[in-house]
Amino acid sequence: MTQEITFWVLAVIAVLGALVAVRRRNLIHGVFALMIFFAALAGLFLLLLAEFIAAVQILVYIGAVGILLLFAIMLTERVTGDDARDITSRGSFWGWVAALAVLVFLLLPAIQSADLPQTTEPYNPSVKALGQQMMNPYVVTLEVLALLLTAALIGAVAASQGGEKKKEDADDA
Amino acid sequence: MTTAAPNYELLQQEGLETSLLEISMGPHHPSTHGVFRMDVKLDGETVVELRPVFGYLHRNHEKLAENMTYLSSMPFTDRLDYFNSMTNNWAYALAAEKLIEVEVPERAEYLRVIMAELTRLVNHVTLVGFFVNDLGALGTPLMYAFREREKILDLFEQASGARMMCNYFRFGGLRNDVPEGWLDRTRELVDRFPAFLDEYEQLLCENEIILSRTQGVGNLSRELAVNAGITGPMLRASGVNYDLRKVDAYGIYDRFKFRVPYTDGDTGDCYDRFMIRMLEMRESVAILKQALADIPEGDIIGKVSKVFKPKPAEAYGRIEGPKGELGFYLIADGTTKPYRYRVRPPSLINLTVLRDMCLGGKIADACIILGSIDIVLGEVDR
Amino acid sequence: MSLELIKDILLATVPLLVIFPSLFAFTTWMERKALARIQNRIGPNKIGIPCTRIGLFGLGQPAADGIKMIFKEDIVPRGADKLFHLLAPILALIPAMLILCFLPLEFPWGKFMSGQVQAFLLDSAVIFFFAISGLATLAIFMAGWASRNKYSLLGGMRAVAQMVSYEIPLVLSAVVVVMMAGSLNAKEIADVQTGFNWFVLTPWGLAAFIVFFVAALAETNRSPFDLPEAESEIIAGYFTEYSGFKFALFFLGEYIAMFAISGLAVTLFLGAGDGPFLAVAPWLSVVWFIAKIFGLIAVMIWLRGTLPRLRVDQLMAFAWKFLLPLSIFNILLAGMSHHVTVAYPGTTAQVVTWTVSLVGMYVMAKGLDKISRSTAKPREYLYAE
Repeated sequence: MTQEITFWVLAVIAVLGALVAVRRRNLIHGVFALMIFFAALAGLFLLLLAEFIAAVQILVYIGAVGILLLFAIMLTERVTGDDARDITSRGSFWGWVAALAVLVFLLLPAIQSADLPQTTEPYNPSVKALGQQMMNPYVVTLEVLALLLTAALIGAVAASQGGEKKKEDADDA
Repeated sequence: MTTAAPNYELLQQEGLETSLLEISMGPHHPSTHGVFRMDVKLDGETVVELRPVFGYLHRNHEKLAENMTYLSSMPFTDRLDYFNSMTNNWAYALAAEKLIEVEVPERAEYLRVIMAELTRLVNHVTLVGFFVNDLGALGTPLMYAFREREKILDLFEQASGARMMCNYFRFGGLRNDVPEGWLDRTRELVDRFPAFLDEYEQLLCENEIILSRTQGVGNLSRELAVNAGITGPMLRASGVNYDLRKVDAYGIYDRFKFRVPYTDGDTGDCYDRFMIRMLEMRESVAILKQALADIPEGDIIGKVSKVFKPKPAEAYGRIEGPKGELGFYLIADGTTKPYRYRVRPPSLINLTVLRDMCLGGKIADACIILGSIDIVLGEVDR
Repeated sequence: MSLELIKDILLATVPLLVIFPSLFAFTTWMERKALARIQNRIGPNKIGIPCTRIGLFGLGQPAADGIKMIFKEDIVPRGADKLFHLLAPILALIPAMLILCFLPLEFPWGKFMSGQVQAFLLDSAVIFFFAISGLATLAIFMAGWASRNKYSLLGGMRAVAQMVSYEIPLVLSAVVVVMMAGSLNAKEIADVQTGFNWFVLTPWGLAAFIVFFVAALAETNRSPFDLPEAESEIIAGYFTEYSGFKFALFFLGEYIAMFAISGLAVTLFLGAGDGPFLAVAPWLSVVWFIAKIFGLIAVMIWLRGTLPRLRVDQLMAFAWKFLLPLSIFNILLAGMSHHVTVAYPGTTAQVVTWTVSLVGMYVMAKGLDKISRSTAKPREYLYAE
């Protein structure tokens, strides 16, 4: 009973947050609404006893993605938020069509064909088990991902360094 | 005199449009040392444009002085640089004494030097405190500085009756002799002052954060310093050996043995300005020791009437104030009032290079550069 | 929801809500008193028992401050985003209070509870800790942005950049402990360290603790990393436009965050509630825990009274060029030492790994210092006779 109430509360918050994030003109309000959506999602994960995923959801989506969005907004001149420009709603019809198509042709079949576990006993994955899974069967995947991220990091550094070099050239000239 | 904002054009390249943040820092801001305003344009944290705005404390000092007798404006000079009323008095007295040609008694000359050097200690010790406060040290060095300042202000109070607005000098001497035992108390203070300086230097001069925050910040080249008319410790920090106590040897400064610290002029940054003041305090202590040892007994003021009519003439009296060359320019027209009365305020003239030193630095640098110039708004705005 | 569960929840959370805000009041007094002594002042000394002349060393000061804060006018700037202006102080307090629940405090009334003693006994407590403490950044940005004040905005931007940067060394130094303890569970990490097996007493633990503490100073915006609220530069940073009770909430949030992050440092490195006389009186563990927190906070106050502030670029360079490589190297050392000691049990291997780790850390720290440190050094001056 408690669980069901919690689920519905979190679900409503998530949907409302997502709606506000999309509809809000003010960029910063939008970002914060998106974070509320992420937080509600983390709550749903907790409800499923997936605490590690919940923690990562908060850490990565709110802590990293959200802050990244804020950083991006800070670099624009709209940082103060007073933006009178309208977001054009042209083409929103096709947007609705695309969203509906995704729902009907992708999500619904996926949910229907999914093989959900039907056990009654609580399933409690420990973080330790998760870690062992990651380090044993999936270690190659993990390493490849780490390598990819490192490459991205080095690429970012190189890109910014390139800018520095150009600056020095300009100084010389 | 103007410096181009470094690297700023680069930010405008390649369609990378960033907007500047315009901030009006002041007139009420914790680190503008009074009612001073800096209109800064920031690119992120970097200062790309800076415009000093002052005049909030204008009190019509010069015009007032032209409408009263010479002696009447002596108390007003206290209010110029309200940290250093004694030296303000002295500069004005020097200018007026050139008009009326009066002999200053020996004892008064010695007391003048003692008062001026004590004032220099007060000014420098407070400046260093405020400067480190601007660096973010939450008042601890300031409180140490204020402890010493209070002791000197006590001496001023015993001699003149006021702690800050002393009004102690008169044309041809001083208002009154110092009370009994005053010289001994001063000797005691002067003897103990080097111990405080040792402690202060130990705490501040080699602090890693202070070093990295102040070195290479707010560089002032020797050429710009000379061209802009910078004087005082700030000029010596930029590598010019120029001290009016040596150049003019006004009063009896030629009788004392002291050294003038200056730099080789390679950097001229905030650290140099800070260190020059630290070193100057030791020299002031040396002068004080000699003056207190040699001071004779005798009269304290020459023969001057309170209201006098000098012959039409011009006079410029200048001293090495703690902040720089403080000058008073007087034109007498044969009446009891000066025809023209003009102050050369070191604070204002040293402030003119603020923009050149701040451009390209961070906003935090601008605060400490302003702190290292050592301004008092009472003198800047007059 | 059963009555039993409600009782448990109350027993687990109410003490936290009572103890830490009261400790906050005491800490503000302690900080003001300590700073005053550092600065040759007396500090608060008048306010004690009302209507009497009994001063009690000014212990009534926090209460008086609190009353003043509550009755002050709440000013909201006309251009401000009213909703966010209101939400920011609340959002600043919530994560700080939440992470207190992860600390392995063993209250003596735990035995009246049916289930677990802690409010949140999660397997991944350490990850949650960092996840939730990161939310404080959002509150600060929210405050800075919603105030519609340029100083606030600058403070908010500085806060975001600083807290994001210093979170990385913070997490990486905690990783060492997680590796050595083999658990993310705060309770288990605490249990591993009982009997003075504190992680701070190992070379890698010591290095990680120092990095952690420095990063924690930056995370909580304490001097010398108090740039987001740098008074001499940007007035009061992100809470320039806050007054009255909202300001008090920020203040409270900041101090609770200090408790929380010190609490985590105590859990990870200083043996949590471990200490002498536990066998005689197990309730002492809470006392030890809070005493250790206060030890760390005393150091923070001491630093605040003595150090000037870094500049924003120096701050970033310190995080990325010094703390980050050092903590990564430390993880490497800790892992190697662990495997060597597992493979070759005995004192010789222990001594060798410890020596190697200590020397390695020292060389690394010196090298990084040499690379990233500014060239600033004291100068010689000329004298004219």
